[in-house]
Amino acid sequence: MAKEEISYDKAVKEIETILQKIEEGELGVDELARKVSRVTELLKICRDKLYKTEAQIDKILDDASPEEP
Amino acid sequence: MPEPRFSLSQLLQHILDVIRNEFPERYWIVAEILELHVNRSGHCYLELIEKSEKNDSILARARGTIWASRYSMLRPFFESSTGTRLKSGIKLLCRASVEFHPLYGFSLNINDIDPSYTIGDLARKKQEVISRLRKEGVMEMNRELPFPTVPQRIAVISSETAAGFGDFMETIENNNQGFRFEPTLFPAVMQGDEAVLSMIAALETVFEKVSEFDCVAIIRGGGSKADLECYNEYDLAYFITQFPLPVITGIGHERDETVADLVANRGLKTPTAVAEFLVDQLLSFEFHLSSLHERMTQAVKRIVQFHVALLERSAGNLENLSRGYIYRKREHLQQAHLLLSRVTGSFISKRKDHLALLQKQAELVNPDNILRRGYSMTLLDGKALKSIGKVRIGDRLETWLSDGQIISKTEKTLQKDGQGRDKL
Repeated sequence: MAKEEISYDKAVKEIETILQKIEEGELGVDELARKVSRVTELLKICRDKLYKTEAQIDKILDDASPEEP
Repeated sequence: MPEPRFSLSQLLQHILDVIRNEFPERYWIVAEILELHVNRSGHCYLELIEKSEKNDSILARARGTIWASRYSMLRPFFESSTGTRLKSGIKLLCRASVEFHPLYGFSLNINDIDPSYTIGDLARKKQEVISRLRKEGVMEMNRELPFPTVPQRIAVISSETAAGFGDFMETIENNNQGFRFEPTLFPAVMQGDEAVLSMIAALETVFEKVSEFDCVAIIRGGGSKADLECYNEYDLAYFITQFPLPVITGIGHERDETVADLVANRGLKTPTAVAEFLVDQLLSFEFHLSSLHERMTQAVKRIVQFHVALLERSAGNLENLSRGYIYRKREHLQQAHLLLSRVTGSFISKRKDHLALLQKQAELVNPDNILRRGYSMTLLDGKALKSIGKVRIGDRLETWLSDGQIISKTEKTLQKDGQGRDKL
């Protein structure tokens, strides 16, 4: 969970820094693979924060639906 | 003679007569409302004053009335024209007759109001507030705060019962994209005389947990359209300028922006507009993420393609290279071999020739060979005889042939060169 504490701005900055390195083509294959998985991870962290979780959506749907006995 | 005495009613009746004579018309009067209340019958009772421009002290004060029949017409026209209610602090240009009643005293009976004066006055006041904020250098302070990349934790200053608040919540909670928002309501009175203090108090509560929020939304809507002047007040505007979070306003104004809108980080028209703006912010962040994702995919694709092509080329090159290398080495070897054999061959043959020559020469000079060819050698006293001159008749000569010797005695000698000398 500690990783989720990274702010959007920091995440985006890190992604952009990595992308620049990737685009400059200076990375070895192993490092490239590591960086790609880091970018993927950061994108996921951002999107996890950005969107409602299924649980939250379910809750909203529950709230919206008529109450059950 | 004693001075005449009047009863109070007589005096007041006299005053009434004088007033009626002296002020027979209706007059346009500029005055400020100090107090106002409307009774059950719909009659409006006002306290009108004039303040000193120098020090705000009250220079004049009079009661005023607007009868219900007029008030029901004047009020909506005034409010829709000016955007403010008739209330304390508002300056009016009103047309009034001067009334005096022995029982109720002096009052001004208002039968018309020119809203343009109030509009001008409010605009002037608003401009004064703006000028003051500019002069203090705070006008742009909230505007200059960077807006958060992803505004999700929203401190909402609003009234729970306001229709605008419901619109706002509905729009951000049920956004089509399923973006997560965390709005927190900080209830406040959003219109009327208490509004400024109430909103400032709510902002102060937000300030206490400022790190828990990305921005503040001041939401109002569905209330009276004619109750916006609290958003032009200096105290509220100043508080907004000093607020450490970006403030967005959606106070449902239809006309000019209020001072609060001007000093806020974003001044939007309605609560729904604020909600849509927030959703758009998240949407553009999502676009940004997508573009980053795409950029990475493209970059990696390019790199992989490049390396695959490079590998293929390298593999081809390796084959070609190794073939060529071997071919060249082989050729080189052959050439070297050829050269070597040529060099050594000629060397050897040269040496052979030379040796043969030497041998020939050697053979030529070998006395045995000479003797074998028919030449012979004659010795006198053990020494090779080269000239006839030394030979005497009777000398014992030793003649060497290839296969033996002849011993003989000299009988005669003959000198060459025609000088045949006979030593006999």
